[in-house]
Amino acid sequence: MPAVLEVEGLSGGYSRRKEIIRDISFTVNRGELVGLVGLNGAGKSTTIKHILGLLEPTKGTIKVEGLTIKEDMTRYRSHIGYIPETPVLYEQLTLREHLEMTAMAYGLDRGVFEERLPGLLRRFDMENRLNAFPGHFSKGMKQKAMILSAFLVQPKLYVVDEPFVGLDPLAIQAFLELMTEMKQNGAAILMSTHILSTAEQYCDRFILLHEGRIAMQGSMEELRHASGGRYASFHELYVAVARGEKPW
Amino acid sequence: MVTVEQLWRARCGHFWKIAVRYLRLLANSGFMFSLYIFIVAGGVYYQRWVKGLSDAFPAEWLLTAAFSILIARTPIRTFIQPADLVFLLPLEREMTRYFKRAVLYSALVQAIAILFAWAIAMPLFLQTVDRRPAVYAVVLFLLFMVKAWNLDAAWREHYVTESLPYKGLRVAVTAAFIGFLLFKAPWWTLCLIFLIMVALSLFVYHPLSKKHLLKWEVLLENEDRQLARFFRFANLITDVPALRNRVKPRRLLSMWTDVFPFGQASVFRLFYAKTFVRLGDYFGIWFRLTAVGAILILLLPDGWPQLVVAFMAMYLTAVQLLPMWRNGWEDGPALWFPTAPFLRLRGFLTVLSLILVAQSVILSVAVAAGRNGEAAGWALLICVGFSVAFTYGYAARKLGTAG
Repeated sequence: MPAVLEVEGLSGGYSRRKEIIRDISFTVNRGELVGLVGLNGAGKSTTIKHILGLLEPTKGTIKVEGLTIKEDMTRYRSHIGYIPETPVLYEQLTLREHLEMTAMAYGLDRGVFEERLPGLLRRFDMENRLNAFPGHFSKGMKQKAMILSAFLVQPKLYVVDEPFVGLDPLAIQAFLELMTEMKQNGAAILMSTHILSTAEQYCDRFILLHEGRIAMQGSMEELRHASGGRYASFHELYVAVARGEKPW
Repeated sequence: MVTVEQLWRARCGHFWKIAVRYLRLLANSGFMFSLYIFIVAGGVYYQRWVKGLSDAFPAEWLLTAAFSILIARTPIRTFIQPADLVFLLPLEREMTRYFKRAVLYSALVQAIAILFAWAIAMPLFLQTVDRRPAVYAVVLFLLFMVKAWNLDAAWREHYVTESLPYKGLRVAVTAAFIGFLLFKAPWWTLCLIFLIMVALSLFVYHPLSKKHLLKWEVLLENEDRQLARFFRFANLITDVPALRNRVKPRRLLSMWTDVFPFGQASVFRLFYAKTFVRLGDYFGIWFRLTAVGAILILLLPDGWPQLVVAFMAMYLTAVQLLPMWRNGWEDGPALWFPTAPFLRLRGFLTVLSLILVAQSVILSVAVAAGRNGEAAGWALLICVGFSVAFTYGYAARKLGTAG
């Protein structure tokens, strides 16, 4: 079975003259959670925007379920659930309307929507915010709204950009549990984050970005092995890579 | 290094640069002319009204109420911005000089308001309270003095969260002073209230600023409110960007979107229908133009002038609803929705045409109210025809290429 997400030789950025990421190749398989880590400006969000088709690559291909965005934009995107780094919501729509719109856009039945909604709301303690406007939401609540939208759809691929900032501990727990469940159901997840301890605990594999290139990738075991067993924790290894040291 | 005085000048200058721009628009619109007419006509009627007043007329009560409100209402413009709560917070002590300027500035602006109001009150005062111009001038001076005391006390109120009792006290003392003044109470009662004011300043209001810390968030809130008031005023005659994205829930009204079935085809119909009802002033524009159009039609003689009015109302509405296409759209989850681009355009056009057809029906009913069935038929034909042509001819082509 092919990987859910295949990125091959991807280069790109906001303008053709100034590439931010160079020659990036990786895959995310069914039932796999892959962590995308790197310093601020390493190219994590840029990579993610290319996957969503919000930016156009200068080189390379991206396939989701064996399909490029050029071949069929709507089908390509219908496989992806995206949780952005900064929550973006419409001021004029209530939480319920956001979720309804998302469900409609992704082609869910009303029945499925009504069935999935209550459980999700309960998990994130948002039941009594359903008819509120995002203007009155805290940062964490806005982030929850984005998470709800993504999990409502239950896509084949989740693309998650630094989800933990602003979430309260209970919401983080609920989010991690949901991710694990979706993974077990066969979803592929690509998650960028700075919270290394959580990443180490939950991710099956890691992609370490440094200055727009992949410095290392693989499972924790593979990374340890590749670095000659010098670093006990993921944190130490990451810091070494981030400083540009590569003694192995 | 920027001193707080320079900061004040920059902030104040910045506001006035924007304000002058809007005021110039205001002056060039028909507004000033209408105001002028209003003042001249109002002045004549007012003089006549004052002359005919009986002795029983409670002029003192009226003036006391009006000037108590005007003088006790003491908003202080600080030109504080949200980021100041981070960057200027550590400078609270140095900012004292900044805020002193804010209080002085507010005093100047509010003194001008009092001057105008007192000028308007002149005929009434001279006719009923006291004939002597000197008394009129002395009372004005005393009003200024009470205002100054109010400003000083109101500023100290910004140091407590529970400021309501202090505000209440200030209003009561202010109203008492103005009342005693206008009812010509014995001079020593005024002196007594004056002494009370001094005592309150020394022992109640001034200690607030020594015992407590400045409540910056209250300052910011007040500043926002005053700025919003100015913008709302300017918004009467022009489109103010700062107000463009205000949202009103309008829960009942937004229920009309339930007509759209659940499904991908409805995503953007729903989006634009809710945007129309809630965001900015789109619904307001539609409602006002429909209402004004309908009223004009009812007042006009039957026939073609009604049709012209209906058409004008439709045209003005349609043109002003077009920006809804982009407004409220930027940066939202719809950016990565798995929907074909044409769905968005189709949704927008559906909503726009429904809005315009609804307006057509209302305006045609207004024409029909004149028992002119034929004209109403023509009105409906013209308006619906325009709705369809504008939406699917003009808007579809314009937005379809603009993206």
